[in-house]
Amino acid sequence: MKEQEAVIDLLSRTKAFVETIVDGVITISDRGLIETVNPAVEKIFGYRLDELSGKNVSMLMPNPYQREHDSYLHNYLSTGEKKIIGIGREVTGRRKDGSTFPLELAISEMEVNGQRMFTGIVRDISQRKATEEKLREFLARTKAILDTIVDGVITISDRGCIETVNPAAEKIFGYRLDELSGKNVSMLMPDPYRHEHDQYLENYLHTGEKKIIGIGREVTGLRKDGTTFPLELAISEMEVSGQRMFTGIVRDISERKETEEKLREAMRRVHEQRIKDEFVATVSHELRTPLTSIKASLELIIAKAVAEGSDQEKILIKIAHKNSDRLLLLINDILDISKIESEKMKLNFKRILLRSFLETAISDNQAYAEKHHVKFVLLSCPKNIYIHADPDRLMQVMSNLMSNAAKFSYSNSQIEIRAGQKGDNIRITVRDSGPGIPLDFQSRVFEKFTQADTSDKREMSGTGLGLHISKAIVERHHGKLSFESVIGEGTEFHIDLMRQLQRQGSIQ
Amino acid sequence: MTVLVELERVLYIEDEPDIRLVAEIALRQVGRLDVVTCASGEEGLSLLNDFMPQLIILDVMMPGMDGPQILGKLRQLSAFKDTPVVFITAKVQPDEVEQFKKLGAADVISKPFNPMTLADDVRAIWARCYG
Repeated sequence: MKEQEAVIDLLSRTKAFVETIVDGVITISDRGLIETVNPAVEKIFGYRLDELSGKNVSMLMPNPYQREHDSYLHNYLSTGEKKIIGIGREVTGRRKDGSTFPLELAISEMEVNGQRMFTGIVRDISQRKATEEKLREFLARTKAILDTIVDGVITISDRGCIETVNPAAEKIFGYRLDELSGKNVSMLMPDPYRHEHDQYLENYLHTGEKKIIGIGREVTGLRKDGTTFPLELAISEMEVSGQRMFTGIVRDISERKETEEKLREAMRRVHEQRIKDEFVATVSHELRTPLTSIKASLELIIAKAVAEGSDQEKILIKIAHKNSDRLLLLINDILDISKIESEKMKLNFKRILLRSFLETAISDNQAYAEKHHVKFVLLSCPKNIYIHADPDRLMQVMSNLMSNAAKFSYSNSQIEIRAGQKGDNIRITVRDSGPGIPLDFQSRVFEKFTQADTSDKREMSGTGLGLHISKAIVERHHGKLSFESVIGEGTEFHIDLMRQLQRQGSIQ
Repeated sequence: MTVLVELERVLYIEDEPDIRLVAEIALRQVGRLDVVTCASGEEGLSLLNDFMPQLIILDVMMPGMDGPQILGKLRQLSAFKDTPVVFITAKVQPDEVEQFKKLGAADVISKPFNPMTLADDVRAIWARCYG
């Protein structure tokens, strides 16, 4: 009786066990027909017990497995060749609603009352599969990131040995992975950092005192070829399978450093130029202020002295006045040079009727003609040519060329001014009949502070900056200033302004 | 060109005493104008109602109130809001001249000026304003 009770107890326990486990349990006959299923099977496949009982188990499989199942079973029964029995494996299940899902299946064989039977234990592994898939995808993504990012990623053990490096790290340091793997990471640092590194690491592991971990900083890296380079390094700490590890992210900042340096240099130059500009502007203002009272006083005296003073007084005052004029020219020219050199000369372009511009030039510079006893003549200029130019600056060029021509001309000679189209240009020419520019001086005509030595005893004045400034002004007009000179015959200066630009007025 | 009102009274504000003196001689003795000069904007503004200048010449760079600031003050006074103001300056770059004119100056005279023609230059500006 006790034995019977024990059997009943075992049966009820087994039943409770089979009915409550999450795995599905199915028993089939040797003909493949379902005999029993537990509640988990109903849940997994979506069928009720009565819908399954006595049916071929292949109904729980999608094609082509459904068709294959019967021949497997048949084959096993006749040959004893096991394909799945006793071996767990992953197959595909088919729910009542027709959907399929991954299924882990373990089959065992048993004999009940002389009848061969099979028990299948099935587990829906959709969730696990999905998780695995996600993990795989995540790993693939992580690998892709590590393989493609430009930053180098190096993991080291708590003993400082390199465990992994990504391709960027290989590229940055010039080593291959197999040359780095297992080596002390200090090989990537030049001395003295190399020696300090081991101490740092040891110190950190002992005291927990962080010097670099969690903090990005700039360090120096050492490439395989022995060269060093600036490197930005960020280190983080992690635990993998109970093992403390460190990840270093390294970025070669040579280029950034270089750019920074260039930028600093450019800013320094801009700053210096600004100081220079301000200095020149201030100096020119400061010089002009006392000069204003000197010149004005002298001019007031001259006006009176001409009537009243002695001859010697008149001469001395005129010397003082003439030289104050010269000083003023020099200040103006230096200011212009400064503007040219710092490329700050602003041009105010206007449409100008060339003929009236040249007529104005002649009347404005009449004083030079009178002083040197010469005559300015406008020899030719077509009536309707307009030019685009800054009238003040171009007039400055004309005054310079005309005063030079007057200075270097013989008394009572004529200085000719011509204008017209020449090829693609509009050319303005100022011609004198002076001694010509000495050959050895011709190459230096446009240099700063140059004036030709002449045997001519006529008084020469000027700053030696005029032609240099004139050339720069003409070039700022996208034009060209040139000359032709024949010793003993005279000199021609040409201002060539591009006709195309003139017509379109496209100079900005 | 007819000038309806003759220019007689000119106020000149300039911090540099030497320039102030030569300009005064140039305007008064050479140019036969009734001139009052002073060294600062504050002083100049305090003289306005007694002197009633028809035209005011302002140095641009001065300690304290500079020329453009004085011009700003003048424009707020109903009696002087239309009075022609001429800047006189050692800063003579063309773009700066344009800047001064935009501020409302009738014209700009550059330093160094010619004392023999200063009064004529000022009268020409006056004529352009009222001619």
